[in-house]
Amino acid sequence: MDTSYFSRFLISSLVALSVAGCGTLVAPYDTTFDQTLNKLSEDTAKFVAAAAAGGNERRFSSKEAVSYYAATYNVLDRLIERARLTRGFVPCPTDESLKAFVKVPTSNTALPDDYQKLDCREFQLYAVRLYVDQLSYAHKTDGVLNKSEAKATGGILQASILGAIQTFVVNKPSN
Amino acid sequence: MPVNVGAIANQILAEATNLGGDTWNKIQKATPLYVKGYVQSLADIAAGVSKGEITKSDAKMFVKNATLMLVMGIANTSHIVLVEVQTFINAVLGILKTAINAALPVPVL
Repeated sequence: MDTSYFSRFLISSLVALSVAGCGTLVAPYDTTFDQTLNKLSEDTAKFVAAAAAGGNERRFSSKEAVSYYAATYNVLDRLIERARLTRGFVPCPTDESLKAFVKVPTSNTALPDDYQKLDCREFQLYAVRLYVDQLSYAHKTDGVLNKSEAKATGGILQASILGAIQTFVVNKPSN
Repeated sequence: MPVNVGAIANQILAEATNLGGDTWNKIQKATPLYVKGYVQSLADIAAGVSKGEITKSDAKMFVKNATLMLVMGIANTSHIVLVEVQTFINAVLGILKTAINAALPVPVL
């Protein structure tokens, strides 16, 4: 391959990559995600602790529980939509695994038709949603969240929120 | 002015060397959160079953769901790698933009 041919190939490839949007393999950092998820983490910690301590929150039909689930699903669905609008060019290699988790009876989450195109940020948000489903399932089954259920299902939900935050801050600019 | 492909390639390779070094450190720092979350969940489920506060059938589902924490760890690792690749591509585009535009009568990048 001569140099001029290689140069033309290189130039045309880069122009194609630029046009194809390869400048956005991953979405840029967005402070809304980690700030909102941090708030969700605080709210979840308070809610689960209050339920485990025997407060009104332990009853699934309580005003506190109804409010927590409504607000949490609303926040997650808004974040999922926000992430979809800035979806990265490369799908997350773990996307296919979501199919198995939504089939578990604890799940109340429906995957979008294009779930195989989710980027890794979107994947993490769906994972958090599935853990909210699990907490809700444990809460709903007999109407009361006992201490062990609160620790097991609340604990992993908290860990998943922290895991999602960790992903969203990977490309946070350093000051 | 002719395009010096060899010089540009060397700049790109130097950039790749600089960026690659920190990736594994980031993955190592991030991974324990997911692994600990998984192990803690198994311990909590087992404790709940032994106290009679979590049924065996629920425990079975919770254990399956706990593996999603490990998958979240894989997703996070993938994201770290993609962010590094993105940084690399941006650097390469920067190098090429300067070098190739300078070599052509009309800037194309």
